[in-house]
Amino acid sequence: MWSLVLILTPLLAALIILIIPGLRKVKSIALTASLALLVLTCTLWFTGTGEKQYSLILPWIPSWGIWFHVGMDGISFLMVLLTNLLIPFVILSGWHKDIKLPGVFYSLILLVQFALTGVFTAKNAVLFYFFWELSLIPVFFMLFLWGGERRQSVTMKFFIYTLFGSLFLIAVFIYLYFQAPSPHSFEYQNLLNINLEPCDQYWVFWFLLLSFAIKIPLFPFHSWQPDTYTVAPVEGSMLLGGLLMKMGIYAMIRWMIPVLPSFSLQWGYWIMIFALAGMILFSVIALKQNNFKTFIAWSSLAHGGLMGAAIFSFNEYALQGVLFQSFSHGILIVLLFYFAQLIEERTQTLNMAHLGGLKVAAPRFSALMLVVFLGSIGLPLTNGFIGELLMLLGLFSYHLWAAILGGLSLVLGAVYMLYAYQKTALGPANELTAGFTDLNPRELVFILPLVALVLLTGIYPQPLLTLTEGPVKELINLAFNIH
Amino acid sequence: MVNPATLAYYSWFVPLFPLAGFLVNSLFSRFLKGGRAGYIASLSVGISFLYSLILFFIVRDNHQFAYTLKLFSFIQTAGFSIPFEFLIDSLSVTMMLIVTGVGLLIHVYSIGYMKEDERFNEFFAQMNLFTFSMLLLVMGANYLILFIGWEGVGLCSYLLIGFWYKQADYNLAARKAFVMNRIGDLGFILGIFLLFFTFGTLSFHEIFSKLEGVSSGTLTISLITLFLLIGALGKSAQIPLYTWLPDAMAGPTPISALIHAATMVTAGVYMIARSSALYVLAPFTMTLIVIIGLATALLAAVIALYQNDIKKVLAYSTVSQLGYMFLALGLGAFSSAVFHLTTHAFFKALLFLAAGSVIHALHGEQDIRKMGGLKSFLPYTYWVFLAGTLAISGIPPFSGFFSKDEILVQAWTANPLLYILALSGALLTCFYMFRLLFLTFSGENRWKPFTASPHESPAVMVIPLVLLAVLSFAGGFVNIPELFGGSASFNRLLAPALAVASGHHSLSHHTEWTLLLISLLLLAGSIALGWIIFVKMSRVPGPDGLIRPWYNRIVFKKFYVDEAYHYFFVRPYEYLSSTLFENLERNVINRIVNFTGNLAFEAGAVIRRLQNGNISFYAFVMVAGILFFFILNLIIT
Repeated sequence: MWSLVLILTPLLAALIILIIPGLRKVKSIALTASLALLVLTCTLWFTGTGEKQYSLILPWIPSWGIWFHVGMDGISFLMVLLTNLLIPFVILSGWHKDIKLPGVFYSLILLVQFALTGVFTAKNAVLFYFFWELSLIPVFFMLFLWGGERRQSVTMKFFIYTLFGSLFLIAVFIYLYFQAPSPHSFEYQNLLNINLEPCDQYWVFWFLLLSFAIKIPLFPFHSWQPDTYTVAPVEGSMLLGGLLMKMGIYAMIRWMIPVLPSFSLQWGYWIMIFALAGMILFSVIALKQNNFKTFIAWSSLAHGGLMGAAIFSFNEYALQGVLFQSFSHGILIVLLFYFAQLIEERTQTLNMAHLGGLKVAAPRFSALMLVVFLGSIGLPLTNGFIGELLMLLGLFSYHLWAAILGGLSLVLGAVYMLYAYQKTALGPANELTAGFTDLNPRELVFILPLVALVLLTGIYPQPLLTLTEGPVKELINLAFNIH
Repeated sequence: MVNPATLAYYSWFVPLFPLAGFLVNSLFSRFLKGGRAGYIASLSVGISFLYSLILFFIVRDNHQFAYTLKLFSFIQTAGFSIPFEFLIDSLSVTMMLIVTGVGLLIHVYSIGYMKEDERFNEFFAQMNLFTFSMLLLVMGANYLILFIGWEGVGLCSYLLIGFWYKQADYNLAARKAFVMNRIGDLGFILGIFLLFFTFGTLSFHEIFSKLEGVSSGTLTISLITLFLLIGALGKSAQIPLYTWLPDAMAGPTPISALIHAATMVTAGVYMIARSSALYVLAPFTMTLIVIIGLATALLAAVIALYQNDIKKVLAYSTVSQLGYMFLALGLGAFSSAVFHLTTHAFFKALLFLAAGSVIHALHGEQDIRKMGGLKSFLPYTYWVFLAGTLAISGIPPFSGFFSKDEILVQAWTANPLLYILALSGALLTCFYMFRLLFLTFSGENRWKPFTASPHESPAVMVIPLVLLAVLSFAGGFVNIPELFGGSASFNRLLAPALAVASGHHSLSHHTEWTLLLISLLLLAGSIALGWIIFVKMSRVPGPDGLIRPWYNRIVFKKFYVDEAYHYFFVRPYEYLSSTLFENLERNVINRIVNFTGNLAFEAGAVIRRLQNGNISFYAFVMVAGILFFFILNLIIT
């Protein structure tokens, strides 16, 4: 029942906003709704609401095995928590901005929230697919209407590319529908009982992988991402990097490995090699990126590569690490894009080569940005460390070489992150940065809670780890007991 | 009498105070005018020092005292269970005393040294953060907590090397230090993983207790020790990861004293000593440590001979002395390594701070070719610098004599060739240190054309110098060997925390006296040589641009190691970064994608004639999908 509330509230708020005129009002309603959802989510967490209370089955097209079936275990809850945590900040990030068509803009953000909550709670393949596709539409419009330079070509590329991936998704689900034991059904539980052998239907696996890998994205399906992150309005970048990327991660963990475990085992090795090669490639490329947003995009790609590799090491450490890292990365990338916005607003440029010396005029800004950068490179006692540690531990238990290659992220991440910090914050101030105003209270309201979370979950990660521990174990048992 | 365990239980006070100091100094910086931040920082470290002293007495009076304080469960998932825990035993308390004791003196000194700096408060906040991290490092009761501190000190080192962040090359040095350390950290963390999968735990005590009966030289133990060693090489600036340390001298001089001489750089030595139970089971790794340590000691000493920057000489000398500590570790003389670590902390902190006093007096001048004759202008500084020089050169009865002599004796027992090499390193050390002393303080005033008349530093700087000079002089007395009628009490204090390498036999007193006599004679000779060249003949090193014979040039250019790293690693990496983006990314991957995409677009053109935009293409696909599904359903059922 609670799942339904969590899913429908954003939709309802989105509809209300569409009707109500006035920039202020729209923002207030959007923020209030999203904050209320955050409070509700936290309350549900702290009161220890059980899985059963989230479960809900309504008939949709029962004769085809399509049910409106939603539910949440710890993994879903973590993702919903992340969504509901970040959306208020996404809304807050444009609090001072004069946005054209505010009603549409903010209702699109809430629609993304609606779709994401659906994706993370769906227990029926068609329902999952519905929400999966739905999430794309609001983001598409946000990019297409509010994006920056070159938005039309970039948005189209993003759209076609990700759509291309999704096409296969429905094909695979339909195929699986007929493979599932009778009575045929799209129910998640039913799909779990499919016993496909890798030798015959490997295309099923590759199609599924393709649609999820494009979303994260993993090497070599990433070429839509840097441009898209760069061109998108900052809210869009936050949604893409903070949340939509996690759909791919979540889908691999939930809809791919348990459904097609033997395939995943057989091909996981190769996917891991690709993901790790991608991570290294992205890290190397990130070094020389001068546009701050593009730089964030590449660094996010590198993180995604490590997460993708960790997923395919199939063990509890790695999956726990991936989930924790999803949460951490979401917070960190939203902060990074916020810093990008602050820089662009104050200097009218995102080109790091023109910046430098921000620390002179804005020490607080630089200090907080450094914390976020350090979180990104996984410094201990930040949230980035926990996820990276567990992922590398998982890779290590898979193979020493996987850990060595994955561990290169420790070094390469430091190389590009600290270089970027030097280019922006250090050195002497120039005419562009000399008058850089330090953070004002409104900006601190955005940054401080998230930075506090970066540190808090890095110092005391246990609650989040506990949340997903049981379901991860269950998932792995589920996937591998079959054999 | 308070129960020792109760006192040890409150040992979390020790890192708490510097942490509190950091928070106060950074969050309330704007309210802290004058030197207040410096007082707060010093006070917090001072309290930690006092508490460490209490702990020291407990450890001294209770034989084999080891108390594990579990604070909370840090990570617990899927059998990976790591508590946030501290270990109080003789080794950690020794390190705590060094960190807080020497740290306190450096904090006080910095109040004077950094007085004029506009970011005084920030400096002390970061110093406190460093002390906190370093305490985590030495107090951690498992490898992960140690690693947290390890990375934390790395961060502080990065921040403080680049403290004067407006200079581009300082930032470069800071970054270089962090990245090189991270290379080591990768090895370290792999070692931690292997430890976990081998022993199922990361706690020191649990791991070491499982080692009984494990045979020597197994592949797993060798790998673990090698991985951990990589971490230690980075942090303690050994070959091949040493080049960051000389560059780290870009930081303010108190930082060079605290982080890059007395404490952080010795973390690798501490970690290996802490893991001694593992290392005694890995003869291959131990041999490797001997080779690396000795090679580093000699290489750095040779480079130091030709350096003309007062801090660079000291930096190479630190690398070299760390090499001695590694030599001791590799020989299985873990307590000798920790003993040398301790005395080195005294005299190297002293030398750096004294150098800072010189630099302060000369308004930032660091080139010894522009110094000279400062003896009468900076009398205190001169005398303490002399004490430090005598200590590092190993002149009895200064502290360095005792600690270095132990290592030399160990080298002799292992292999006379090692002894000869180690002794020649010691002679080089003695020579370049007296070269430094003479060029700075004796001879003519070469600073005249450059700076105004130098003045002795204020009391707040001189008092810590004098205290450190006392420690550099007397610090060796805590471990007087049997040879001189002592009882090696320092070694005995540490013994419970350290493993003992097998196959050690002591030398006859006759041999020991002979060795001692030889080394002392040679040391005297090398001082005399230095005196003749730099005082009697008043030789001053030539300018940088001087054309030198090739063998001189190679050493002067530090064997071109930095250049080689730049040429083989940095430049290719930067080249790759641009070329991969331009060629692979833009020209290959993107083209393939766009080609495929255009095909789809051309296919879509047909649809576009029917519909009126790209969004509808999407809708079409949705509908098509559903239709497809309908038809399939019809066919199959």
